[in-house]
Amino acid sequence: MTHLDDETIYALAVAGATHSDAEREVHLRTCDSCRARWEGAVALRRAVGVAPRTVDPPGNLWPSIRQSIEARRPMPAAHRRGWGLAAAILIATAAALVVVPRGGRAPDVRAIPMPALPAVRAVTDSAAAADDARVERELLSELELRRGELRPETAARVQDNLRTIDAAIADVRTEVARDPDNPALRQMLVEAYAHKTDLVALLANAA
Amino acid sequence: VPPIAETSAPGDAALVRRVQGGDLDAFEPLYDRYGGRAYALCLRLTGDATQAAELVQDVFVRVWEKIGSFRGDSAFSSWFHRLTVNVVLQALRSGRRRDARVVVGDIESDPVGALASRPPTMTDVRLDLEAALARLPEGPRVVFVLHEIEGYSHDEIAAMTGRAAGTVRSQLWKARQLLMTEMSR
Repeated sequence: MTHLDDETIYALAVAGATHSDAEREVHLRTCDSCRARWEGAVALRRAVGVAPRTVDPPGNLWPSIRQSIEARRPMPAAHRRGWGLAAAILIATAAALVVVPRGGRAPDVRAIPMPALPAVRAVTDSAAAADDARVERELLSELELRRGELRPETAARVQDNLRTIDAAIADVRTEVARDPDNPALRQMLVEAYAHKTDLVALLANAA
Repeated sequence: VPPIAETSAPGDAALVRRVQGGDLDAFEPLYDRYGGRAYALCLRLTGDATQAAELVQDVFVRVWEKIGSFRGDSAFSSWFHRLTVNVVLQALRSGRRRDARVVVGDIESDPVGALASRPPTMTDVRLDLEAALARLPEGPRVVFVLHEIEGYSHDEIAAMTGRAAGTVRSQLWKARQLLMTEMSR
């Protein structure tokens, strides 16, 4: 008898018996090659039959799942307010500078040179935070030097807006302190700082 | 979709309703209930323990995003199972699969390690199957797991994977032949 094909061998393994066909049974007893494949098929069927439906993941994946979901969730209104306020102030102040510069003619805001700002980084990186703080101090000093070149009402408005942005940043920092593992809050803080730096840079150059 | 008796425990409906309402705390019990099921499926379909763990996270994030569309027409377990398969197949199609394959004894990527706590009389058989599955080419492995372990029909697999039914059948036979050889050693 020629060798049994794999389909026949597998079917015999599924059926669970070989004695239904005497000729095949004899062949399986005498042919090592077919016998080995039949045993492999039986072992495969047995392994599939006892394969567990559940396998414990390596460690608890829930914390990272929760973190991913929270990062995607819409921010609560109270959290959004500070960031939105800072952004609105930036836009409004930039517009005011364009509209009411000292000396009358409105400059082309696209022509205002912007200093190289540090890339947005995680505020938990102390070296990066220190670098950002240094840049901000330098810009504020520059702004102070040129304050006299701004119209008084514009200078007052700038000072008022910077205080509001600082208050918004303080609010976000408080939230971060309460929930330090929340990536959305950390990102919000980074962006709030970036907005402040952008605003100061814009004012310094416009002045 | 094959019935999954052990994952149809009472309480799913109430948890799902809370999650649909945005209650993230109610989602954790669903993870506890279905995380192991998702991991087993991801592990066998990918053959990669690290990728499987990543995909389980993707699955639950996707469930969170999509659970609003679950209307309760079928059991949550069935909906979850199908979504898990879709996430894995999509990941495989998008080429996220790593080259690293599972090797028994590799502590860093050991899909069978998690099975070690199972009854010892069957552990060897399970280890052989998991390791053999991991060594299969992707196409035959996916078809074999979906058909032989998960109980999907040829046509269902063809629809899910976008392959012709004839291709599914040939890949299933390819997998069986390779696994028969592996298991006979």
